[in-house]
Amino acid sequence: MRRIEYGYELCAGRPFRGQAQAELRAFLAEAELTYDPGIGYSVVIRDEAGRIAAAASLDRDTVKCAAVRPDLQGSGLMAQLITCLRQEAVSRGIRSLFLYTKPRNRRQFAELGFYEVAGTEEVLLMEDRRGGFAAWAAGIQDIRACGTVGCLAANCNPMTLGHRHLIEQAAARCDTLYLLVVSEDRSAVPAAHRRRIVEQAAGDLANVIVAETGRYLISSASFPDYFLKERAEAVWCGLDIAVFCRLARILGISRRFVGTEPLCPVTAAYNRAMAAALPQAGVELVELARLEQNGVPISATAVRKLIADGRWQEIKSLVPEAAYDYFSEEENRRLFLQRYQALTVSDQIVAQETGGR
Amino acid sequence: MELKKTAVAGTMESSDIMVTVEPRESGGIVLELTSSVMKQYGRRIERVIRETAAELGVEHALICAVDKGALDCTVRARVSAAIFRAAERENITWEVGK
Repeated sequence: MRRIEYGYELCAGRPFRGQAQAELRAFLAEAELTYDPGIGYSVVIRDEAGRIAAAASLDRDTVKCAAVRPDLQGSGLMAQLITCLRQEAVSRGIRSLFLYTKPRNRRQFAELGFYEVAGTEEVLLMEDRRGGFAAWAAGIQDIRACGTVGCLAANCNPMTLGHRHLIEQAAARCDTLYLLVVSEDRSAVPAAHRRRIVEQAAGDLANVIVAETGRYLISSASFPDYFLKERAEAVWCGLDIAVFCRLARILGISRRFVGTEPLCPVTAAYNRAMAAALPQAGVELVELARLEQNGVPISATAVRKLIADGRWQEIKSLVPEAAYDYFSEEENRRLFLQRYQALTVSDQIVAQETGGR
Repeated sequence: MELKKTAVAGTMESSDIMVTVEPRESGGIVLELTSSVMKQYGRRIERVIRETAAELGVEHALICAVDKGALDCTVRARVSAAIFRAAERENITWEVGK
């Protein structure tokens, strides 16, 4: 804790709990913001009377829930909070920050070194690297791309024959297909392993370019709800789609492929939102039927369950050879089980924390 | 000087500058400057930052600076401190500022 000017006091929580968190929640509610359960670090500035004057929080690499009391806006409090968050981020080994805010705050945060990534009418995603997004897009762009360019994004956790079918169908409907594997490492199969299996199992399709969604697409920055599974607020679907539209312009993508989604409510909501928004950006949304086996769509969830239940041999008819070979290694199965259990526990905690809102 | 990690120095308070230095393998010094006095002093601040990095022998780095009207001596001090921290240099021989 350290004192700052005019008897104001700055204090940090990693994160705040109990009464301090309750006060922060109440302060945010007045600013029409909701405390995010993913927050790991918060800083607040209190006035002489001990009331919260300003607050900002960090969820991994993303600044969230940043607000200054209306009567104190323009007095430089946010600059102090962002300074603290930057220092904390660097000490945690985080190189660059994202930030969510309302579009009306664009200028204020631009003055604090944040640049717009993408936005909707309700929410704006900014980053503290001017060339961040462009560098990411340039890393995906492949000189072989030509003709009608399509895009398919998937987590492939792990890759199934259903994914293989979707990729084949999509690749047959365009000249070049960017296959973006979700990079966010919050799934039972580690991101690098998911990507390697996809590269092996789709390597025979000459017009498919395998890349990653990076920190920008279907990431905890652009689409936090994707990783909570329970809910998918339209605002986040919209933001992720806005980021995709910016990428589509750079890469010349005119078709986005998705599988029909009968099971997962988050993905279903995301698909509906894309169907409404993409045509306005000149991108056609193509829904492809899922591959079924014995009358049910092949699902990665079912495959994960089989592996978790120790019945990994049974996935043979559901996954490509590369994935089966991967799980034939005992070491990979052990890693999977550890992560699967850890995720199940943390999902329950998140579900409890979000359930009360 | 070899940079080992990302480091920051300074604040975003009035008359100060916050400098983040990130190691790079190649590409020279890439500078991203935001300044409240960009129109008046942007070029000069950029020159001071580049000179300071060059004097300390930094060849490749991403330097992000958010300036709130810092004087040259402040810019120099903040850039030097961020670079020393990024290089994990502990015994620093501070020289008389120019």
